[in-house]
Amino acid sequence: MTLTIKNEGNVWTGIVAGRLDTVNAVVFEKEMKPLVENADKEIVLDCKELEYISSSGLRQLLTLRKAVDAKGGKMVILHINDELRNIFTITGFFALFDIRN
Amino acid sequence: MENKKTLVLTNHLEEIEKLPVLLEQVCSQWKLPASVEASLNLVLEEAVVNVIQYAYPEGVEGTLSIDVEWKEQAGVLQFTLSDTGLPFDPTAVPDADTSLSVEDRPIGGLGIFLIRQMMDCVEYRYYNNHNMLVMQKRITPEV
Repeated sequence: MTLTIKNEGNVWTGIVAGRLDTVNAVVFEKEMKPLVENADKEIVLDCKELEYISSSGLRQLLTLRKAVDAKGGKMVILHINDELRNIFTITGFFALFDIRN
Repeated sequence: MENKKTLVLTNHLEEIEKLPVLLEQVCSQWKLPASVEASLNLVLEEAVVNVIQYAYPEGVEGTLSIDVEWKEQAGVLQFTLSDTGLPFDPTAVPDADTSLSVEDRPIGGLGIFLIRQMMDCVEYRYYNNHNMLVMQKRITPEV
């Protein structure tokens, strides 16, 4: 799993790639700190290269979403694959996130 | 042909990295569609992590075994997880409420919910000092 963070103006983009399993979610939690700190701005999470996610990864996404909610920012999730789409549907995440292609 | 496989893991989180390897073998050997690999990986990870994190007290070394069986006639793939940790029935955990708002949504509790949603049958029993979790999924093999 890798998380690359880019900042342009008011937009903070996290590009996540690989497998966000229980082991990698611990790393993700640390590496997403700049996104949490800037949760009052526009957060974009690009999942084009995210292959796999388990509940630990979902938990991190929800933590970020809650931070955005608390600080009054915005958050968009981009390009999730079919498997993630299925998991997001089952867990009701479509109602919690702005998910776009 | 023997349609059974066993994988024994220790109670260390890094062990979950063996799960995608196991499922790749299972699917290629028994000609199951690769499309089921990811969801089966998710189910196994959630169940295994649960045992690794909660079954044994901190600092106690333990193991869990995963028996995989492909019941070809019935078209059912079965996982049986067993461990000798503290008795815990994951099937008794109430379902996550997926209709709650961002604010009210608890951070955890999705793992067991995902297992139930993805599998066709999930049963738990405590037998002979073992937690046994049996999970079944109907799968149409590739022709």
